[in-house]
Amino acid sequence: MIVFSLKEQEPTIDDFGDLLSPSEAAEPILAKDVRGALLEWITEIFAEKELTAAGLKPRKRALFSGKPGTGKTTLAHHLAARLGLPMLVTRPERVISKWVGQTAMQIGSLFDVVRRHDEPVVLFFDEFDAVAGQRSNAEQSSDRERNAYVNTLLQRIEQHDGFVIAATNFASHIDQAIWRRFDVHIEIDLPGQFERERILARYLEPWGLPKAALKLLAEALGTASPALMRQLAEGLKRQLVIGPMVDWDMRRDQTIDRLLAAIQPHPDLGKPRLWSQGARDHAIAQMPWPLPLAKEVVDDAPPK
Amino acid sequence: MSTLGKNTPQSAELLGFVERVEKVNGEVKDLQTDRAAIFAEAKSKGFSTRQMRRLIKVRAMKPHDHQEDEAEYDVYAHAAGLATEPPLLRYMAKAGTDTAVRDQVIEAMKGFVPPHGKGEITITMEGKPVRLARNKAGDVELLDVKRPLPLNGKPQPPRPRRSKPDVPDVDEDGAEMLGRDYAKANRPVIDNPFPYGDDRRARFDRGWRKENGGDGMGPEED
Repeated sequence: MIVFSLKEQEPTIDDFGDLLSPSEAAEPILAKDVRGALLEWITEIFAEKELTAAGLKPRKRALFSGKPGTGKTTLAHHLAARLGLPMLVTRPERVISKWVGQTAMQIGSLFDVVRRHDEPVVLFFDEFDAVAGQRSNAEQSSDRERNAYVNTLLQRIEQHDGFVIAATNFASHIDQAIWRRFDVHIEIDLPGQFERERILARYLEPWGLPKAALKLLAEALGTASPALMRQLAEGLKRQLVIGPMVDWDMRRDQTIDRLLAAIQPHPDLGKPRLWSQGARDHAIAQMPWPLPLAKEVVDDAPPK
Repeated sequence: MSTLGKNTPQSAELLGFVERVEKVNGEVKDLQTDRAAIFAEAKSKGFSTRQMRRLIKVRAMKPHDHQEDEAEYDVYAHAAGLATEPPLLRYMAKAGTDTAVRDQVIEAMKGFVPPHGKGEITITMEGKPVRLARNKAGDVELLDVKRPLPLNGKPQPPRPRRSKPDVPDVDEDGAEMLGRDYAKANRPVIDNPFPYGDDRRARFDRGWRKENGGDGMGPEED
């Protein structure tokens, strides 16, 4: 007697990306208008009962656009955490398939899995243009395939009752009909001076800089994205930890030059001043060295 | 051979060869008659001579050549729509009795095992059933089947829920007070202990913001 079974396991939520819990969320550092828009939306969601009484529904779908590294994912995660919901960060490569028709199936399966999940989940699409690109006149079979799955996506987003947040670097690449299904549109710009100071301070922890030096450094990093500043701050911390172990030259200018050589901003985002000036930048000249710990920063020196 | 002619030594040699072949031909004829007689005898006892001929042909082949021949035929027959079951399944039918085949079946099925976490193959044969699953490194592992096989596709037990922080037993005003306390203690607004959909979550959030003066997204620009 032989029994043979090939069991196709039902996909689980983990098959489509990473499920982030509310407690893992970091504090977003954003410009005032973006924070205002987000707080408005949060308040609206919290007021669901009152809105329903007035025959309205809170908006549940948001599209975040902005340059790479401006904190779209952090923002979405903060929103999910604020609502007390886990967030599923879908990965395009887990949804898009090389087989004809399979991508549409995967999209359907993703929404089914999220619906069946035992608690509500905020569905987050990063690099949304990968799945929601413009439909076209189907001159090639690849166009037809894309049209088919964009249609599926459109329907499923329409039917989905939960929160959907999509993020894209290329807002203009998103299909118009899909764009219209999103009722909150938030554009995230590169951080301004104030945000840059806070971002640097956060990522330099446990080290810190006096206010004046922090301000100068943030100025020297104009047009830098949060991701770039994080890279820079973490790179500096790494140098401070590793350097003495491998006998590097740990003088300030040498350390900064070494650091800048290893990190390059994307050409399209513009090169912050720090990269053209290097260690000669006066922001570096004002930097106390060795770098003090944040709790030991002396802040009474007047800015020069 | 230019000197071949009547009464030459070569002519005698030629005649010798011809006569030898004629003799063998005669023997072949006798043997064929014998063979026909054996088939006739077998037929008279009810055996199918057609199948006997087939058997003789197969027996004459090297075992390896025969196996290859069969496998190739199976594939052709399946492709042409003649075979009702795929060759692999037919081969596997032997696995019930033959342990060598059983091992070969397991080996053959390894290629069909889906990626890690995507599914697995359970093979139930004579003896102990085995489970084929890929580990994280992508290698196929043979595992024991512990629980009854889910052949009938019954739903799996639900996954354990994420552990929730204890929800404080307070009313809405209490939740707002708690939010204020969290803000005073410098705890982030996302530490809100009330679950999604609970009205107290919104009140906690509001209390936190009132006390802190900010929107919960860090200090604001002056």
